[in-house]
Amino acid sequence: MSTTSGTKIGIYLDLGEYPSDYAAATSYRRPEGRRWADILEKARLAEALGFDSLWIPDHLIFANDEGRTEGFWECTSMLAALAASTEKVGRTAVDTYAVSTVQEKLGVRGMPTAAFAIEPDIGMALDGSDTAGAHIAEHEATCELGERVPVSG
Amino acid sequence: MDRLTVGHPKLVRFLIDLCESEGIRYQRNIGGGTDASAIQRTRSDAWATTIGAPVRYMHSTVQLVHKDDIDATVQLLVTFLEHAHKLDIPA
Repeated sequence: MSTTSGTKIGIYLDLGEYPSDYAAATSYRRPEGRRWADILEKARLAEALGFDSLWIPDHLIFANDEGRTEGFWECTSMLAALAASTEKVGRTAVDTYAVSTVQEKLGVRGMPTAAFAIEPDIGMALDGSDTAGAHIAEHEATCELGERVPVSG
Repeated sequence: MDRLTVGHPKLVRFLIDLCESEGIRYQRNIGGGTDASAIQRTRSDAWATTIGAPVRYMHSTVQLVHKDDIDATVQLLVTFLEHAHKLDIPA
């Protein structure tokens, strides 16, 4: 569904899995059950219609305005499942792996096992850069907050 | 570049060209050491570098970042994924 201007259009999939008495217990009239099969069906329909991407909410346990807890599918697992079950929605021309590691106070010991398992052609670390308290004038002159994203090289 | 990694020059040039063509504000950085080093050591000629937001008072309980820098980082990462197939990676 990409437009001639290059704008891409995605669709939002609600992942809320509501209790069977939800509609009666609240002022909202919303679907009561949303299983994997339902979500997958919508995702594949969106793909067939030409949408470029799928968007899902990032909630685990969500309390609505009335204090009632709703269940949500965990978002990163759901995105992985949708990516594995669709052909082209949200796909880039390269295979992409997202890895998170525990690093601080242990150096970079978390990454080698993942890197050796994936054997990436390209690796992009997401990390902060220093604008430390020491040498403030120097750091402020070269690393202004809110100004630019740093690229190491 | 940081204490553990020299960013692959072609990858860094590619990222900077993307920033300039897409209007993403950026700056060159000399950092402390990141996961890029482990990726770069996986095998010969694995291209690696680091991107991320400037952090004030890093490694303390009062670390500060600017939301615009987070947004710029996300924008750069997304743009990179959309163009990464254009990189001429040796087989």
